[in-house]
Amino acid sequence: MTTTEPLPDEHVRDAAFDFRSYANDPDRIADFSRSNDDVNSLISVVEDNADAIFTWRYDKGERAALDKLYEKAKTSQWNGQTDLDWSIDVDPYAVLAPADPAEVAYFADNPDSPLHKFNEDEWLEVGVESMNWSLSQFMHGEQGALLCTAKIVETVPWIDAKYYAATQVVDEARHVEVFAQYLDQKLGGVKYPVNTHLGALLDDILEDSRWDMTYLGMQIMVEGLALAAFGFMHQTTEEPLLKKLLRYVMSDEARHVAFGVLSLQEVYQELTVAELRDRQEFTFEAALRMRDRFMRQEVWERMGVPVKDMVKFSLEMPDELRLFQKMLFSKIVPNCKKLGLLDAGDGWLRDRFTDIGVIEFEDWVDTGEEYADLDEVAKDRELAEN
Amino acid sequence: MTITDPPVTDSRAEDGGTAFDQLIDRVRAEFDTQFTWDYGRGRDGLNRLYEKAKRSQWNVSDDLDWSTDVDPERMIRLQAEVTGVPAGFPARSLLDVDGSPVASWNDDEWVDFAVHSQCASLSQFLHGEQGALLCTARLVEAVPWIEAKYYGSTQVVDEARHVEAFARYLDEKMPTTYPINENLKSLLDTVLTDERWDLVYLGMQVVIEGLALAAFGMMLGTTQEPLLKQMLRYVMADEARHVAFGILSLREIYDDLPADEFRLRQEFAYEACDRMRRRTLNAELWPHFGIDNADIEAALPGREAQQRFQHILFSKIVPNCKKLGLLDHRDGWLRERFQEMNIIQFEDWENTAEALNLEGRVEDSEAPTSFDPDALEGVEVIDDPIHASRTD
Repeated sequence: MTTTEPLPDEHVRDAAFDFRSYANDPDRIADFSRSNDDVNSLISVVEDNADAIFTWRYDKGERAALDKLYEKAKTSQWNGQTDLDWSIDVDPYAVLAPADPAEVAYFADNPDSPLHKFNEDEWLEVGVESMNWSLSQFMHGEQGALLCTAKIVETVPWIDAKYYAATQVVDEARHVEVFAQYLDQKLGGVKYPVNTHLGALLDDILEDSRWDMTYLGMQIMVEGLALAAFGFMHQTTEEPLLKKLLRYVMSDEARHVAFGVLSLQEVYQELTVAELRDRQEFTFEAALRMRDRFMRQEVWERMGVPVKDMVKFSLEMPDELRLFQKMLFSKIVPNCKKLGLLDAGDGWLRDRFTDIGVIEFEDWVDTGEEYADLDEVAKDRELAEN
Repeated sequence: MTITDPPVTDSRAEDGGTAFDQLIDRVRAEFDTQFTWDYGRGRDGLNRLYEKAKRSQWNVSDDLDWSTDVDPERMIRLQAEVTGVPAGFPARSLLDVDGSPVASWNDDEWVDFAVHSQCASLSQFLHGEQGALLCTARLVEAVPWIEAKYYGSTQVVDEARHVEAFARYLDEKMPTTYPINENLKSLLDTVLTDERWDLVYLGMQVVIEGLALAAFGMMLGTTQEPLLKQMLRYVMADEARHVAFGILSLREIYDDLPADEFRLRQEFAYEACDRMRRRTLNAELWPHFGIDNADIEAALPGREAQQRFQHILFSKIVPNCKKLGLLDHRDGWLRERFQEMNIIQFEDWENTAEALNLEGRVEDSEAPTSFDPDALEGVEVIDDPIHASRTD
């Protein structure tokens, strides 16, 4: 018996949208860079158009790689309350100063920079605000991941994927929990609502009725970027509670990206060039949104810096200083390559990633392979036992 | 475009067991996913439930002894011997009915029937757990409270574990798996399609899970098979939390509900119970024995043994409906319906939320073990209910 499931109508994309010209156009990016001003609303609602799918084929292990991932996820659970030491005192001014000196110099020394006249106190404030902003966005992103993963449990037709995704739902809840608690107890509360770009991407992912798009948007793009960003923050922060929190979150995230890679590999083998092109465009659009969200529009607004000027100035940053911005794509690009998305058709996505200067990561290790090495929870437990 | 599953042959169908008509079923869902931007955790009952759930996780692969040998026929005979209830009960009470389609069955045939009946029950548990998995995932999306999203996420992984456990038990230890009962499926579909998220709670957490809890308890009280016993104990410990989740959440919602909306919930609860009652006739089982479901529907519901069996299944649902105010609101409409169904006597049985001690101020001492035996508190094992009902 073969089950061939037509997916619902293709998402109609604006054919006139010129990705290439948008990608590096500061005016257009800045136009879309209004910060989220809807700070008072307590909920936001997205229509869910997907079908819930029952499978009557309960054969666990039919997809061996997913089954292995499920077993790994079961044994690598941790508890946000008991596995982290919340008694640690955090002084946001003393400990959290993540800025890259070369990058700071670019903004501080250049006379055209909107931050040119900033004094030391203001720079400190940029650091503190940026940290609150980053962690707030991580937290909102984790809630998006929680909702998307719940949706995958409902919509994916494979029992092995439903099992694994269930563990991811509880992972994502734990991540929201720990970021929310860190912000609340250590950083004076959540100061920033969800970034416009991130919110728009999450809405798109949740509204799309095709389950592979949920995977692509959430597991490959949002989680892939988060994995890179957490890694960066983990390297730069000396604050022990945050360091451990990030290590543990990252070891979960590595599984999540692997889940996306392992599942989509199977699906994409069956797609036509036109269908793959649709995925390529979705990927690039998501990539731009993720890049643009890191321009910290809300921080500049709060500090009274003209947002458009900052975006423009950020985009003009010399290539060698864009370390952080580029590193954000260090997981996404190799994973896209592994999925065949870089070179499908005429290599459209390769060209776009070249345009935004991130193609160099294509041969970095993909997450389908490395998740087991990143299991810090298992490592800590082994150490504790020995 | 299409996403194609690899070609599939259903081995169970070839074994002469069950043929599933189709391998997947789609349910169109029309509902809203809600982000909440209020990350404050003010609902203490749900917070405690979340913490308890985190500490009470277990692993199907490691925590159950799958090396246990199970001989289904021996298991049924042993159960009959120990409980004194003949194999095939309560259907076996049809022997006394004039013109009964099972009049000629001997004890061996009843044992065979009981094995299949056990398969049918476990299969419905399995499918019901998958329904619970999808419903709970939906709740995580739709509920606007962060505490409910947190707790709900642990339940998603609980439900996946239950599907895993029942699927493995059926696959490795039992001769066959039955497709989903149509009454159960139609209730699950109703719950999944409704746009009001509180009805997902009511249908899934209160009615379906409440009934499951009673059914598991009944099976746990009668079976002598150690692996199944252990599995049911663990599953029930989870289920007790799930029902408590429904009660704690719905009480808050129902406090503010207008009368006409509330009446709709009463009717929904009754409809759901009615469908669950019909599911106990095991319509998917009888054709396997060459017996027409119409004959069973005509004879079995009238048998006292069947009624008692059925009533016990509602022993968790009724007190929980009372606790939610659903029984007596306005004209007591639901109380009357439950009186007609002869299940009102359970109204003052221990309520699941109280039994879990979530209302108390003192949280249990925290023991980070892989399985928290405290979670079994409040899980009421109904010892040998059928035997008890026969001798009283």
